[in-house]
Amino acid sequence: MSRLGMIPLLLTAFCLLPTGAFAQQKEWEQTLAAAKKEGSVVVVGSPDPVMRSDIIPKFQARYGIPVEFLAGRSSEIVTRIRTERAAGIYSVDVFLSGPDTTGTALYPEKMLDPLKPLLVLPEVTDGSKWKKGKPWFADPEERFVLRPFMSVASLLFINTDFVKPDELKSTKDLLNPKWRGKISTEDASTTGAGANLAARFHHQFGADFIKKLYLEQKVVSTRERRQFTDWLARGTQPICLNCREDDVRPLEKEGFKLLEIFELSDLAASVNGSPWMLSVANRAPHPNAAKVFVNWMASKEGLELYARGYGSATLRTDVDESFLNKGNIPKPGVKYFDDTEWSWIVTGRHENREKVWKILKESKK
Amino acid sequence: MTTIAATAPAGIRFTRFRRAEFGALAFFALVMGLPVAFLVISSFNIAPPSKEAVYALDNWTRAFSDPGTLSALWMSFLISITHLVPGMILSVAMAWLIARTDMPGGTLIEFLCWFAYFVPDFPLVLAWILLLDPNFGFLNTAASALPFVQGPVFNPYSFWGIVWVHLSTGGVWFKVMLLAPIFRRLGATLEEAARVSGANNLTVIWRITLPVMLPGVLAVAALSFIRGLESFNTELLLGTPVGIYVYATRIYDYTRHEPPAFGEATALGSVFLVVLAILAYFYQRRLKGKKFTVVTGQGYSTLRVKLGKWKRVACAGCLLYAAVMMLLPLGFLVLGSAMRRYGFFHISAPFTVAHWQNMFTDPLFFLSLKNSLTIAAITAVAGVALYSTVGYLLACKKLRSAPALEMLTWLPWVVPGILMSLGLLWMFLATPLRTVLYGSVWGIALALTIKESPVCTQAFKAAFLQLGGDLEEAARVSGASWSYTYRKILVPLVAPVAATVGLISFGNALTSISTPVLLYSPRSRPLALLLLEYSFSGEVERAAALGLLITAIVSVIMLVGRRFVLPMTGNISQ
Amino acid sequence: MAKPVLEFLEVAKRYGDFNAVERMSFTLSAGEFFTLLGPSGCGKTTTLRLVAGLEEPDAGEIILNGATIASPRRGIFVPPDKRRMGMVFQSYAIWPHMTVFENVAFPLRVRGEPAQPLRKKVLAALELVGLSGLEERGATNLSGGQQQRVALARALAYTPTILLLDEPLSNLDAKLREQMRSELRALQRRLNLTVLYVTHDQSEAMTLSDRIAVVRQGRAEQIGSPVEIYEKPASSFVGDFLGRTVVLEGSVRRGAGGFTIDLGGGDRLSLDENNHASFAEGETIRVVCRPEDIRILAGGAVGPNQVKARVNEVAYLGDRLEYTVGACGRTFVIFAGKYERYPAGADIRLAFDPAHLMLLKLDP
Repeated sequence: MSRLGMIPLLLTAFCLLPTGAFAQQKEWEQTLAAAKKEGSVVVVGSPDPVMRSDIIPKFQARYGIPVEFLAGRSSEIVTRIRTERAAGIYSVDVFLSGPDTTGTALYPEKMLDPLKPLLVLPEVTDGSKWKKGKPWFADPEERFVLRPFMSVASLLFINTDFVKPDELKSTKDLLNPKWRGKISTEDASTTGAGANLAARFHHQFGADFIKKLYLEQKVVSTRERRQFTDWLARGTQPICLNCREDDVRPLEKEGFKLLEIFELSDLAASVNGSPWMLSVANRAPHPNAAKVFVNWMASKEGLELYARGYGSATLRTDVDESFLNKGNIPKPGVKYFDDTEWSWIVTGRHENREKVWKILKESKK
Repeated sequence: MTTIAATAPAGIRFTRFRRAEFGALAFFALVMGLPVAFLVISSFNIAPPSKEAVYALDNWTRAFSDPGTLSALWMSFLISITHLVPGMILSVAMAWLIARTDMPGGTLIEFLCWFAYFVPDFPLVLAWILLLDPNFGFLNTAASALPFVQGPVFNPYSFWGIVWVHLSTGGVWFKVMLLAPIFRRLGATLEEAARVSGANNLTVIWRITLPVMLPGVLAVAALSFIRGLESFNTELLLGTPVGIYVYATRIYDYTRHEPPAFGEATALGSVFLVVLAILAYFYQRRLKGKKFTVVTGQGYSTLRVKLGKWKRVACAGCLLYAAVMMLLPLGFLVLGSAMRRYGFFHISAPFTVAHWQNMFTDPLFFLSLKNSLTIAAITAVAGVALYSTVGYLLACKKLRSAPALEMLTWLPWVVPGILMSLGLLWMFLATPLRTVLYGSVWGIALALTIKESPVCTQAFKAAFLQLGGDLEEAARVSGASWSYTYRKILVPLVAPVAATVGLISFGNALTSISTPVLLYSPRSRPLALLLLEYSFSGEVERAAALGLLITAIVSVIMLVGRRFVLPMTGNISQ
Repeated sequence: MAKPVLEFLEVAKRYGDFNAVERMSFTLSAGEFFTLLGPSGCGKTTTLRLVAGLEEPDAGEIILNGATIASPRRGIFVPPDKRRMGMVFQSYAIWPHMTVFENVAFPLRVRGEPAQPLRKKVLAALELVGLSGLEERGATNLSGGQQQRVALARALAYTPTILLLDEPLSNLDAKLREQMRSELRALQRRLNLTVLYVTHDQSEAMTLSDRIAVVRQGRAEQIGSPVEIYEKPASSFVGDFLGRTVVLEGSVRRGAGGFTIDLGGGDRLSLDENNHASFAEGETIRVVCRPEDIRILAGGAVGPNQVKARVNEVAYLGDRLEYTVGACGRTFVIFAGKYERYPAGADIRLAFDPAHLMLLKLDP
């Protein structure tokens, strides 16, 4: 039914376009027909409630093509696909994968096809619909990996019952002996958000700061996101370095006085591309369905669903952002540290992270 | 005049036996040996993925030169041993009380053990944190009300906290589950004979019951030790904040590196192979040349030891242990699944049924439930069929390749779950069976069947070791073929063990995450993958609800099983 | 002579370096009660298992009713389920998960016997062993004697070619053993069963068997009738092994005083009538008992089942005394506690326990 509703809508859209639109439209309809014949589209990503409860039903309703969603930690997914490919199996059409996975595995291991030529819907290719003036292909060749999100990431959270906001103005304040044992972080000694933040600290302030913060201040580590969020709320560790916004938000609603801090006087706010970047697999088993899916995913409807479900700001100009937290929307003119910037992911962060780990390991000796 | 039906080529009986032996060996070599070989070989490959392989020791030297590796290994060993010793003592005592004495409530206590085993450990650890946390733990708060107490009494974030929680999650329950059926098969005559000879109850246990139970008890101890080494959930939650790292955590870290470092993970995992080899050596040496036939066709009696006035004390002791170690945290877990936020009682309107509702309205829930039940049923049936055969072969003195076969059956526990999955994934893809196995419920069921190989094999082996050869031979002389004997005599005789194995396979198939994660496809997605998604996205309450649901399913199956299967065989004297 | 039912020819069985059975040979005729007698570990049970098909021989041939059932040289081995044997194990091997009926019915079910005749045969077998009415009992809720009967009924339910008995009486108490022994013998006679019997108890062997093979270290040292073996032992081993049996001769007297055996010289033994119905009045028989079942009493005492005797020699063995005594015209060795002292030449009386006496027909 909604599929039928879509056709006149598309027709109107195409009628407004100049010559070539008809050829384009005809090509799109052929793609659509072929996609239906292919039967399904296989999408790979991390376990994700938005995908499960919004994207899959909506896409199927729209195009009559079922989405088969494979979820797992990105390291598991990469391993699986690598092994499949070594055995000559190509089962995946579309990747909705994190920046790390995309930048360090999918792209360098040549598992991708160029995405740029596949994006054909006018509302996707139209540069005016994007905050950067065009769809942003983040890879060095600028045609494989579409980056659809950019939101301001929180730096840390504090519980204002225990820490006054003016007690934490700059990163130096983190080293105040008063907060010894009172700061929690996701375990920085292994892959993850904790190490990523430490890498950024290292990049900006050097090894000495890492030693002072992670060792002398006796930062308390955890592996479980629920654990430090609870500590933050209960005040046992009222400063939380990696607490996740979607974990903290419900606690704020319960009346806990939690404050999200985006920047400190000596540390700029950062933006990132969470939750995923968009790419298509080469030798995809359902190339037409993949084409339909990526076009829809990059359209207003697809991205808005995700932005709403996940609370991330997209790079589209036409997505409703009223339901987003103001702090998460990048402000024009402000210079942000981009945590998903390609070379930072591929080399800069890795190098810094290795140095951090070396420092942490040496302390154990 | 009687004529002999047919003459047959020499050694038909043994040829068939050898064929079974060869079949089992080939099967395990294929599904366990091959994946492990693949892992080990690729751990030496240092070339980047999708490049020509280059073999060198880099992964291994990197993994072992890490200063944290050895200390983590030592910590794993310490923790594992520390909770193994009291755990074994407690569980042997409980299994004996349940199976061999007139203690009231034995059935209930055994049921509780089963139930407790399948309660998911992650939310249970969170429950212990709520109880014991030095700042807000309920027990600490309660204790501080006492006049002579200053400061927190308990601290879960410590070595002893980890040991304590291990005794609560799985530790003792798992052992009782395995030990009780073994104890039940012990003919009472041995004990009675000792009693008549003037030995008191304790002497009987120490001198008679335990020694004849030795293969079973040792096997359970070895299984628990290996499980202890492999565990890391508890350590992640309780150890990380105070810098206690265990070996399994390090392996886990390597596997979720970006890009994943399975070479280093395999290198570290190989230490478990060494531990296994050492354990196997001592196990074989300890048991060599001893006979453990305790169930024969004669004097088979299930008379129980009379505890007199102590039986109430014993029952109270068991129930108290179960109450403190299981019901207490479980109560928190049940509450947790019905709270807006697990453990936050002082927020307004803390209780809700939303998590349960959400779970049932998840569009993937019913498909996953169906997949899970299918997979679990296949796993249970396949597990009983496969491991009863393997256990029988291993219990036979005639087996030539017993040590090799036994080692192979241990592999799936020795190799960390995610690595085993990777090996299996490779094996599925590399064989022509991949159209049937890869991504289907059958493939997942096969992987899960293999995963529980050590516990299933050991359970059956212990049962068959105790079974006198006479019972089988009597049937053969009576004219029954080997397969008829197997079905009509051997399998019914080990039915309580078969039921145990079936249920363990079933329950584990429902809860295992790391095994199917590389093998499922959207159409064969099991319930446990939903559990993974919930915990990945921080939905602890929903994960608790789903975990409880899985526990409930296993409990129902177990009750039904007890009702219809065990009465025929479990307690013959009734 | 009729064609033998079983020919056991030059059979050998090794376990590693241990020769359990070494070139053993014997034959069994139809209706014969043949016993393998020997100390534990001599290879007699292995021999039985070779006949049953539970072990595979390394050499030799086993022929059943003219058909070779095991011959490593010719590459023949018939598995146990194709040999139509019946076997009673020392442990009885009653299946604990089945009722008495199902245990006995098993061999018939295996052979696809239809329900009606099956039921008839099972009930008949149970009646034969005196267990009628217990068929629905759980097999483990039985006394030792009853279990033994179930095992026997199971072995008999389908008329086996040979009934194999592996020390079936050794787990029973003395009184029951006595009773089962005579029942077993009677049953064998009545059904004309061919029996291969294994025991280490020489008196059991002597009372039950038509022929005995005394087995030592995997070889048959001597094969013959009980009396042959007792009277003319082929080796000192056979002599020693049987020597600890006391054998007296006497004649049967049936009368108002019950069943008595006149040993001559005024000595007589009175026995329970029931177990000895097969002996005729006046028949000369052998009375067999073990030295430990004979008590030495001072010469003066008089009571039933006592005979006059004289001490020929005394040997002090530390923990006990060994008396060589003469009684009823025979000389034999018995033992006594070290406080029961009688000098050489003393007149004593020997008290026999009628429950431990075995009667044996003279050779036909």
